[in-house]
Amino acid sequence: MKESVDLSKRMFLKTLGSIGGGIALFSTMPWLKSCTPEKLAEIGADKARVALIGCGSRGQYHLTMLRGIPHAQVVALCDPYKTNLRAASAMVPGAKLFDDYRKLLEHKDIDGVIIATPLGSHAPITLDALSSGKHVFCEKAMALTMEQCKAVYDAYTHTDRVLYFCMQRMYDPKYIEGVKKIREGLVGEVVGMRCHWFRNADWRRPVPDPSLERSINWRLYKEHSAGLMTELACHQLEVCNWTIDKMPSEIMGLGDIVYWKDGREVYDSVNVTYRYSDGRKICYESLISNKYNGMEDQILGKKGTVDLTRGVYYLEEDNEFSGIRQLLAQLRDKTFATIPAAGPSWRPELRNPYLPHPIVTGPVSVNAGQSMVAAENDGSDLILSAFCQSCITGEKAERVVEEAYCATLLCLLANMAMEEKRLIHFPDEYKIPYMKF
Amino acid sequence: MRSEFSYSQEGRFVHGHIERVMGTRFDMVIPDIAESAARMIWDEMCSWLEHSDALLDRFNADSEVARLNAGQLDSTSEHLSEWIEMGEGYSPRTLGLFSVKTGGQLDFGGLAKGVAVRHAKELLQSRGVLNAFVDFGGSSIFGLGHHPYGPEWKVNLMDPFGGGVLKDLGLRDMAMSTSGNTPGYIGHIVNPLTGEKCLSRRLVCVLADDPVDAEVLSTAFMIASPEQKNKLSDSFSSVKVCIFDL
Ligand SMILES: NC(=O)c1ccc[n+]([C@@H]2O[C@H](COP(=O)([O-])OP(=O)(O)OC[C@H]3O[C@@H](n4cnc5c(N)ncnc54)[C@H](O)[C@@H]3O)[C@@H](O)[C@H]2O)c1
Repeated sequence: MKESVDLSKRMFLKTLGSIGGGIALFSTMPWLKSCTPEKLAEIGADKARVALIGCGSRGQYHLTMLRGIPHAQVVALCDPYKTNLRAASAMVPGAKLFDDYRKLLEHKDIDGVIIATPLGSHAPITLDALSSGKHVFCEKAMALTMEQCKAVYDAYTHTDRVLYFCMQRMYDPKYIEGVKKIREGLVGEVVGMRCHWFRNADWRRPVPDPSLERSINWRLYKEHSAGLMTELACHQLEVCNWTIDKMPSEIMGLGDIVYWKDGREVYDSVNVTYRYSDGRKICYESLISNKYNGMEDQILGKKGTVDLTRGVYYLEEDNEFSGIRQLLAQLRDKTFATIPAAGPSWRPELRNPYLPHPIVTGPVSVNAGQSMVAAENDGSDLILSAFCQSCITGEKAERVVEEAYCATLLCLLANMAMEEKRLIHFPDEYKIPYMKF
Repeated sequence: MRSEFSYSQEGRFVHGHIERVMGTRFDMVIPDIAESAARMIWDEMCSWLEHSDALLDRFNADSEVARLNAGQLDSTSEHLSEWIEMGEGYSPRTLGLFSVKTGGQLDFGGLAKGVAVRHAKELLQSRGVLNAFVDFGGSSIFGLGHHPYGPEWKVNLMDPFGGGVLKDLGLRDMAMSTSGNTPGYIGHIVNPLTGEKCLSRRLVCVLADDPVDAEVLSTAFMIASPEQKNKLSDSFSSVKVCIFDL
């Protein structure tokens, strides 16, 4: 018991201990306030009684983490698919088992539910759980349609229950520190953003019986899934909005099935451009038949580039042939030497090597973006722990739902732009006060 | 025009920087100076550059030069006339190898940076500054006085084709200008007498007391024949010229 208390505290300190900034940090990233070690100490030995709805690969990953969270107790599991329910049950032997989440929601001794089902069921389950008085932690993306997102958002504004969506980058130390430093001017004015996610895999899972194809490979079918945008881009778009605290107002893109012509309905290749009212853009690309470029969230500033994915930044000046920089260094160091100032120094504009500088001190976990389940230390553990803490304290995590709403809307609007092959203006009816255009 | 001015308390120097003016960057470093005095010099330099760029930039459709080139003006302002006179004054002295009028168009690309550096030099001297380093785009430089920790300002000339250092140069109250063709940028120098583009892999570096002389000669030597080179060397006797065929 003692050991596991430390584990939870360590999660927070691991995330924020290296960052510092205390009060100032909480004012710009207020969602972190609800899960401080001080608040954790206040709850003493209380435990959140939580239930998992959806016991597939992500759900089981959450179970492993829940086992390391001392203020969490998994009391129930729900999945209509017996194989997954059994596997989950083996991980938390005492938990009650359900095949229908509505039955589970009737139980009064459950404080909160963790929803890790396919996208299509996020909204109905979230809405039902909130109205039966449960606190809710739901996987991203928020929902399959914009109408559903709005309904969830509206419910959120009216409920006294706690609601989280798993936007784990908001709890990932390299992102937190990176965004903080960008706001402090690390790379100058932000002039654009480039995010991509490349994999070389078909996204399929083995199906024991053909009748299960659509429910097991739900990611490939539009009734359950919105494809690459909600599965992958969602996290990355959230980071863009978070970084510059603004929402794009126009969206255009092209989507296709380039390689995996296996009966799937969702694109395996998307290129989307988001434009903010000031002309800045997010250039988004995802392709799952080549993984050379991996996954990257790049914030481009006038003076440098932050690769949030790797927790590093690059400065433009490091790559410049500038005698003046060397001269200034000499004057500072009180030394005298030749500077390579003279000469017409134009070079062909090939990509030159840049020197990486770390954003956080100490080891950084980098997500290569190739796993369909999770990446180590990517904030997923801390956001889940924060939810369990909130189940006990009732304290909401500010902005998490808003960020999830904004990011999901951008995913769904991109799909609309690609399907209708037109430029989409952000629709007024889906604007919320949180958004700044 | 975006300019930056910074004062280093520990190093006791100021650095003024303009990211882009007359198509390139401009830097001025002044050691051992009071911040307020340096600020006044810098502001004055900035407004001179801004004003001159607005007059001369042939890629800016609103500039007087662009409008003259486009045939939209019948007369020339007094200010621009002075520039033309200064430029054309070099034509006879350079055997016609330098002109601000090529192919019927005005182009101050080979002159303006030198004039700007001369302006900086005179401005600094008039304010009693003894040591300073002025760098316009890496190719037009003036070392006023000397480096605070050395007897001169030392720069080296790099081979644009990647061959390393070509020459070390010491500048003490001396201007330096380089011209040349580089891998990505060839044929921008045109012989006004023949209309031919200079395409050779050549780099010219000129050291002179006067930044404008250095600027003009670095272009003229790019295209001069051996005979013309001798004549130029005779009539500008105090300048030093290095020519590298790479
Ligand atoms: N945050 C992240 O980084 C991350 C990573 C992976 C997956 N996810 C998300 O997690 C969710 C689940 O993904 P997954 O890979 O685990 O899928 P999965 O197919 O492995 O698991 C989904 C499970 O939900 C069950 N299910 C379906 N409908 C249900 C219902 N009505 N009630 C209860 N259970 C139901 C299925 O039977 C299945 O066992 C998705 O929304 C996905 O986007 C998030």
